[in-house]
Amino acid sequence: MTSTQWPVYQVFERPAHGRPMRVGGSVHAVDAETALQNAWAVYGRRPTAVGLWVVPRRLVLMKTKEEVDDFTQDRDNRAASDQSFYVFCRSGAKLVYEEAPQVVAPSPEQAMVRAVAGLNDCFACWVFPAAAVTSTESQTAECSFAPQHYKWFRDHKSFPIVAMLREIRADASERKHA
Amino acid sequence: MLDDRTRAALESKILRLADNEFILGHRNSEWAGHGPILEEDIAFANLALDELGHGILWYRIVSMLRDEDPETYPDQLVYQRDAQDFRNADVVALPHADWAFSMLRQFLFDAYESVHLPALLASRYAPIAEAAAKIKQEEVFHLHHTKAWALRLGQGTDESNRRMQQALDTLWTPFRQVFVSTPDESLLVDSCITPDLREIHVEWRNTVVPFLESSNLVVPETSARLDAPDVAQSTHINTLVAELQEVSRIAPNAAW
Repeated sequence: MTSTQWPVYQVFERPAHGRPMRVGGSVHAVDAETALQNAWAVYGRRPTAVGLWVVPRRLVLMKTKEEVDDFTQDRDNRAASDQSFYVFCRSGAKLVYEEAPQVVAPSPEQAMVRAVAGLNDCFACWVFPAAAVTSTESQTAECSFAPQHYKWFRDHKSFPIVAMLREIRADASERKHA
Repeated sequence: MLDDRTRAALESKILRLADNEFILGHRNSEWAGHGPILEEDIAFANLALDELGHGILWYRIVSMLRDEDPETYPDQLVYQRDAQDFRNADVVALPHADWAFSMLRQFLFDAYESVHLPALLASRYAPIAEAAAKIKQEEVFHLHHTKAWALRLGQGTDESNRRMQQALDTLWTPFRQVFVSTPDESLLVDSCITPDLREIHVEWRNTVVPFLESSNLVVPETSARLDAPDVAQSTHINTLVAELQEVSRIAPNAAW
């Protein structure tokens, strides 16, 4: 049976100019161009990112530090030529994966080993070929993927449902006791 | 300053622009929660919301022209106006048949805006040029998005192509109504307040026809005449407005 699910693209976002990229989330899409559109609609429209990347998830190697430690490099292909890999790392304390220095390696597995070896506090790590990225940062000015700063968005913090319900419940129980 | 006749012409023109945006946005908002995938559900609902916002920008200009409060009067226009007083082209009020239909209609509209808005930027009436500048920012993205879908559905499977062709056959002739002038519009054209819609129509055709053909769709033959009297409005707008105003008719001044 063939799957009717569209491929998943991992979304990376740049929170501000000059800041490193970080993992945003993921979207389904038929190809990279529409993945970027979906990423912008879902993650970029509110002013949270100044740049977005999408990468097919099947090209992202995701491992924890532990898994890398007992990595058998059986897929080590010496015939493959070196290429650049982006590295995203999650330190023990943080919940976000942030961009770490790129590495050059002949395979994702070797890129992973080299990346983790060069990082001090790495709980988990992602690597993928630099060539797999489709980026809004390379788009022409014609396509406006810019965050909509001129718009006023309300996020979940504007709707303090939990606090409101707590007050209502407190009122109700007070009345019960009275 | 505008003379009375030009002012009246301007009012009906802007009301038409507003109603086109607003009714299209309202129709497309019906897809919220029913989109083909979650990501597109969000994206298409966002486009619909943008169109509602564009409608409000135009309604504010109508408010100014009628010496009404631009903050509150748009609500009155939307919630307290009779269906027969809406001035939108009938095609934007048509209920959606399927996803191909709504996507193609939004594409045709975005393509029209991508030609129309740059022309409005040159308007001698400053509020028009200002509104057009704001709207244009978002329309660039709209067109990018709907083009991507139209191309993929047109070139996709037999079924997606068949549905797109069916949508095109249904929408092509009614869509010409978007290019039909409002009363006394020639006064506005002569005063460089709005562009000549016949030119916009030609430019629009030159944009969309090659694109639709490259999407493996056959563009139906139509006569070139645009100056036909306004096609009688169908009853779709009545149903739409009745539903839209249901709550405000029950509780006219409710606030929440």
